[in-house]
Amino acid sequence: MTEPLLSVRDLVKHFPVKGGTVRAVDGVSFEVAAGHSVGIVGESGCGKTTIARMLVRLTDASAGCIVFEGRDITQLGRRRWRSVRPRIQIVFQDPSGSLNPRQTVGRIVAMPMRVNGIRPPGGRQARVRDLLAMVGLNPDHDERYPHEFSGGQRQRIGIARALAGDPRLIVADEPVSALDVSVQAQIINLLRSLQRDLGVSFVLISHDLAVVRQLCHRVAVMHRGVFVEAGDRAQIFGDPHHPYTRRLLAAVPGGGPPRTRTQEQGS
Amino acid sequence: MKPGEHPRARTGTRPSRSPGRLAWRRLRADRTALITGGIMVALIAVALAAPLIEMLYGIGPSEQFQAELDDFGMPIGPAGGVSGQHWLGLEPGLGRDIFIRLVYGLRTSLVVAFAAAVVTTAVGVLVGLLTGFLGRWTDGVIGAVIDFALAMPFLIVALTVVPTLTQRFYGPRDAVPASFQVFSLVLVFAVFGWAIAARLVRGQVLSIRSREFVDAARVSGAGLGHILGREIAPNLIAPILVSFSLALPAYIAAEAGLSFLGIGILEPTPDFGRMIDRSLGYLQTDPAYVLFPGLLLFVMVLAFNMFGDALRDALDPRAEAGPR
Repeated sequence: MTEPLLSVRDLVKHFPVKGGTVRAVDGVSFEVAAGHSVGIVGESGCGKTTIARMLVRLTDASAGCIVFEGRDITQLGRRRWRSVRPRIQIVFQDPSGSLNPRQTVGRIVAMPMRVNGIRPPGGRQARVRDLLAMVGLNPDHDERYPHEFSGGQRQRIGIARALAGDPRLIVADEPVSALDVSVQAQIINLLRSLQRDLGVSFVLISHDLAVVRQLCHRVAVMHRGVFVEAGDRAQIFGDPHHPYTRRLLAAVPGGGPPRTRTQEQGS
Repeated sequence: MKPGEHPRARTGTRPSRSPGRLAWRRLRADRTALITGGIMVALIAVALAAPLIEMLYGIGPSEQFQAELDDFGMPIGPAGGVSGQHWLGLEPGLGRDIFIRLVYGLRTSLVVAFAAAVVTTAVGVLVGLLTGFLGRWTDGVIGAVIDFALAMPFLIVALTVVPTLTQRFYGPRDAVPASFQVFSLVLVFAVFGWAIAARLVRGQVLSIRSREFVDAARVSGAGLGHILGREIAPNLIAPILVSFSLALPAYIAAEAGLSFLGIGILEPTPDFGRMIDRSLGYLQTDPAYVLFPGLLLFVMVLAFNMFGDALRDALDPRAEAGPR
């Protein structure tokens, strides 16, 4: 395999608190190949979101390195980082909190182009319309405000914004857990088609194994700040080694979606 | 698929409902807001048109009508000399026309209140934005100053500072110009009021700053200017408007109060506080004298307050339902 798009080595984040430190992320390593996706699963509080925030540098890492397109972004100076920035984007969990209620959808989606001085051929407005169409929204709705959309549509707006800077990697932090189950599937399908059509890689962070299974080539299981197990999708779901992974799989209500059941019967 | 998930089927030609337009629509549908807003506009219009009203009415605020007072200096006629010429009667003693003094008193009151509200809101917003966003030690230092400002006893400081300030610039026998009286009142209000606005804005900034749309802007590489100006500031307009509109009646009442105590606006400038103070000497002999300025002040403060409440409800309809 050629050089991976993203390579994370021994990533550590300790938060100082009264009477010691919280080891939120304690030495985590993984790689993401271009066009591939990695899922990170684990219970709430295990450090998943901290990893997501470190990947987009909303939080600084305590130690370790994050190599993106051959450069260690934890060490990049402000100016260098600016050039990388639009290529690593994030989609948040809460589709209403992640959209500014006082801005039109067109301005929200155009924001990454605006702050990075990107002028696409045909103009930003045309690009915004393309992006809205790409995520399955009506391009004519770019003058509307976030509160005029449903939860699923708002998450599509968030995805369109993430795509505006032509990212190679999108970190999706629980992108569907705030949505209805029926809408969840649509959003996952959208992410999958973006991965296929645009070659975008995803780091998908979720507590929901079913969601990760539908999108990710590789899966890492996280527990208390470390990866207890990582492997291909088939291996994690078909032949889990670590007891925590087995417990997690067993916790999926009803044995998970039908496919899970047949595989479990087969093994 | 949920209904409404794909609005593509319908056309998107409907005008967009911006949060501001929605608030405006709610405000217009609110009867309290309409009535109190109407009263506010009328009062402001009267204050602005005071010289015009004087011209039409034909009587100035300092004109004395001694001939229409009896030997004891009391106005002749019902309810303190109410007549076709003097709509609300005359002042006992000096014999000045109450109606035209109320018209000009409105002017004094609103000028002080608006100036104080504008200054305190502007300073408060600036300080609140800075502390809320820069954080760390700036927040600590300015937070301590805010606490200090809020802990100072307003009335005692006002009672000592205003006369001292006046003495500093004018001798004991000089006539103090009305503009200086207004200035010192606004100054006292600003020194105390900015902290309230600053604390409000700081709290708002802190809560908005932690919202994910600010993170999203940061991830895309937005600078401080973009985040403050385009992401945070538009979300501050509603709370700032509400605090401004609720500060107005507070300053109207406070100005009348300080003038009543003799440290705000002084004679001969027409002022509600002064009028009520003077009228107390005639409570038994001419009760109508206290009634007119008292009633107008009451209606004005009530209308401004109720309008402020209605404005808050219109801008943030969830606040009406109480804490969630």
